[in-house]
Amino acid sequence: MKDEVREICDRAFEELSYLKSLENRKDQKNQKNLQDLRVKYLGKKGLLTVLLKSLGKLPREDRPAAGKIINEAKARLESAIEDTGRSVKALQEKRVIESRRIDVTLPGFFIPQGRQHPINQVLDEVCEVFTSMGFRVEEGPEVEDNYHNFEALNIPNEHPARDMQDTFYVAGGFVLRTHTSPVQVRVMEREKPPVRVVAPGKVYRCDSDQTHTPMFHQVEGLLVDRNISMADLKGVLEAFVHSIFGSKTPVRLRPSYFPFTEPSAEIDIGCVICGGAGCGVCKKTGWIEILGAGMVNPKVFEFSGYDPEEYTGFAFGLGIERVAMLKYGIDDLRLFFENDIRFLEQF
Amino acid sequence: MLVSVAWLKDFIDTGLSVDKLCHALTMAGLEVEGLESEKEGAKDTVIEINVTPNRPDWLSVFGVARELAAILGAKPLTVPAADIRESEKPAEVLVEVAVPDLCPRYAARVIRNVKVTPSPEWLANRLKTVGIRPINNVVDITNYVLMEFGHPLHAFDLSKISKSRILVDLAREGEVFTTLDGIERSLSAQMLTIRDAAGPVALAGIMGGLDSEVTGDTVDVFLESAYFDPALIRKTSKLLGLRSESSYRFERGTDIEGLIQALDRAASLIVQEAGGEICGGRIDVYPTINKYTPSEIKLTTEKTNRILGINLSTADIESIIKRLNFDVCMKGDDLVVTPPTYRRDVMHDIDLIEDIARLYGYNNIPVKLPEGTMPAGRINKRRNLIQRIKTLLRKNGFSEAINYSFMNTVHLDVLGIGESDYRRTAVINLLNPLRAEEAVLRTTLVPALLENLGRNLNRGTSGLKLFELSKVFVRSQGKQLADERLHLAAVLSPETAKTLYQPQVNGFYELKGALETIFHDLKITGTSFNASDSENFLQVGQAAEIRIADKTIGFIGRIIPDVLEHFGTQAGEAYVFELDADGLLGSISLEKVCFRRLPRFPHVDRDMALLAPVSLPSDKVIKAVEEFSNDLITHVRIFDMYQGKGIPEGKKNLAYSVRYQSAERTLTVAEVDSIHVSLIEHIKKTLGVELRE
Repeated sequence: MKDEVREICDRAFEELSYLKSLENRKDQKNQKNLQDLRVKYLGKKGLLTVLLKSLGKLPREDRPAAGKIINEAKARLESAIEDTGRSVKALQEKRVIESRRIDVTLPGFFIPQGRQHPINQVLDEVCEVFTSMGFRVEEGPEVEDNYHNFEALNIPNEHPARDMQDTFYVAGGFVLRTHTSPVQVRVMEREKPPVRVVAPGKVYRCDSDQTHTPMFHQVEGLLVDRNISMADLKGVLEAFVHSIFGSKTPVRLRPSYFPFTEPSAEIDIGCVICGGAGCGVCKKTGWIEILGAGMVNPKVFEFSGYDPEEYTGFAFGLGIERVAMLKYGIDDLRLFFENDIRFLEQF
Repeated sequence: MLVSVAWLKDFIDTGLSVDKLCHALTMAGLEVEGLESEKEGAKDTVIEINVTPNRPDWLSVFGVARELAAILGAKPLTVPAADIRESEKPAEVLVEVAVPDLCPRYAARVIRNVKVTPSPEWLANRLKTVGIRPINNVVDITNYVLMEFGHPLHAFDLSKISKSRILVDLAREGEVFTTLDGIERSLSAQMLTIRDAAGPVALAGIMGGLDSEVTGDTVDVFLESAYFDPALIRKTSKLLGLRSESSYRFERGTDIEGLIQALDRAASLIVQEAGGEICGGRIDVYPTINKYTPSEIKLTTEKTNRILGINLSTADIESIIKRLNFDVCMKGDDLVVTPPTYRRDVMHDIDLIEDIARLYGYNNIPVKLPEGTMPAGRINKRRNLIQRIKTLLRKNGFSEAINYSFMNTVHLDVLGIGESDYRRTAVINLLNPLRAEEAVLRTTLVPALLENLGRNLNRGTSGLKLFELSKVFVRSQGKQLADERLHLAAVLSPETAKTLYQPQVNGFYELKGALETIFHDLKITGTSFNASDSENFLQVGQAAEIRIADKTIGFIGRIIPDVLEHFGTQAGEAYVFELDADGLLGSISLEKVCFRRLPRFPHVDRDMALLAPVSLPSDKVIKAVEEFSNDLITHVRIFDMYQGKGIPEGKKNLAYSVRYQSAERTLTVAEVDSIHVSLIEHIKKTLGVELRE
């Protein structure tokens, strides 16, 4: 009996290992053969099952030992078949997965994104810096009347200060605003202090050459409250320069003249191109003019009905194109308005 | 203004290197814009100073020296010398000022028996270094003193002054006069002239006359030093388009009290260089009523410190102000300040405060952040929505363009915009355009975008998506001249290069889809696109009006090839839309959003395939479903449109999916089927379509 069991087992394992050796090649069939093998040895009429059923023929005392042998053999074979089955299945799954391998280096699907115009990027960035300091964004008309563009800003007719800006005139005493400053006036006409506004927008000058375009962009700012001093002006504008050009950028103020502010100042930053050593952009001075600013002229307050003895404030204005040129190293102003996609896509 | 450093040294020895000198000037408001170091031959440095319009007193070498003395403090200032030795002979010139309000002061001297020759080297060189061409010793001296003192002078050949009579009066209307530059000018009655018995001999404060100029033959010189009304000079100079060193200074305001000093300095230099003798008695027409007395200004230490954010003592302030030659006295706690006559710009305490800040040094003012109340309402909602629209367009692949607000009216013709179209009739003209192509403000964004399209495609770009969100300007009858409307426009030229995944979508639908993204994101409802041929630059049958709640806000469509060709591109296909962005912003209903409970019962979808005439707009079916108005229908969408093989000629297959759902219960199949059948019946009846089995 022992020998018979061993013989059957040996045969079974031999067949199994043969099947295993085939598994790399034809696994589909292999599964079936494995099933056949199980039926052949372990099925209802399988060799080992038959043997087990024939135990009755043995003497009673021999039965447990023989039964144990057969059952052990069955268990061994069963688990070997199962192992083989599992590994065949795993291999099969692996093959499927392999066959579905994709090229992860192919580009993803997306709609190529459009770009924001660099002028508006800078404009938004500038506005954001000021809104974070409590300023509100305001807008005003681009076709402006003489009063708001000039008179209320203390630029009377026949005043040499008019020469500071070449003006486009339209009918009826209207002009294309030469600066965003009239928005100051409009805000002050509407609101009582405290006021903190920035006014971004297009402005126009009757001038066109390498360094001038007839239309460009400015951001105007106005802060009015009690006890606002030139020290506050310096604080706010230094904070602005540092957030746009980096916190280590040197800033200096020097006296200047605008009819609507007094004292007036130009704010220079250390040249971002040469780091202050002197180059073509800063005309070898190491400094670049970036902002015009000043304490609001009491006359401007009077035009708007604010009491200059009660309130003080400061105003400032900056050219966005200039900031964008410095920030991105753009050397030709006209590129901004050609809308060449190869230019726009860089920002 | 050009200033010679050597000349400056005549008046002040700063002891500073040129670099330090420039820095000191710049930081006090005399911005040094350029430097010309040691020109060949001349041992001198010329600096270019940008003088702001409020400071005419800086428009001279001496003016700059005087300011330097104030800036540096404690440096002695030398005043240009005048050595006047009058002869016994009287001047024998009669001066009359007919308009003392326009010429508040008129002074002159007569110098006889001069010898007019080319200037000596020192004089010619100094003028050359500051960019003035030497002419002869007498003329050069007037220019020299102009540059030195900042006060313009004029020398006449006295023999050319008819009857030795000078009259300062307005020109006669239409009078013709030839100025020194040889140009014949027609004068008007608003212009001020210096006249003799025969007519004008000079345009007051602007330029002398050709006939009375000092030449080699001149023997007697009439030397004028006057003060003219700045606004009048400016107006005349603008009217004639004639600017001179003289008008430049007069229109900014010269020193009415200093003009004698300039006159005497020039007279004494003429005698020194050209010989001759100064006639006895200076002519000086200066009516008492015109006498300029600077007003006293009250200044408090408190206000000075409050505005500048510093903490100066009254004594500090007084000492700074005195450096600028202001007279100061105390009245109680206040300072009472009288500016010198050359500082007409100083009229209020704020002007003094500016000067104090300047000399104290802007960079010595501390840095702080404002305290006090933060104004409320800081968010600009409209701007945020605009940003959101722009972001959506970018996500759909459109890059942002910015074009000039000007328009070429020829482009309106190219686009076939009709004679009565407001985009033509309500256009706003510039009175002084730079170019004919930029003579009006634009009423539509389309031409500029088409120009951008043409330029890009010509430069080799394939596939372009650009948008612009900018104002257009329409003449209005209101208080403002222009109705400034925010418009949104976009152009699309389909990508022609092969791509890896991209499904081919008709350009029209791609562009429309970008718009629908906006509608969807901003919850703009009631939008529709209605076939329309109203725009002549759009292809018939491929264009539509864009509507929101039955109001037309714009158009979309394919651009006809002729128009594209005009804008320089052969690209067969391009699409455009333009709409009123304010109309769009006004229809946003983001804030009306109200939460709806999520459905608890399942939905059932039923499809219907319809055989419809090719001409039937697909949205008619959607509208018919809405009209059917069954509460259980929650949604309908088109998922297929097909014509061609298998579909009869003139027909198309439209397939829709209808969703049924109840908030109260699970719907039964029988119930849904029965509604669906009657829905189809309704559609068949109202639209004359057939159900495709």
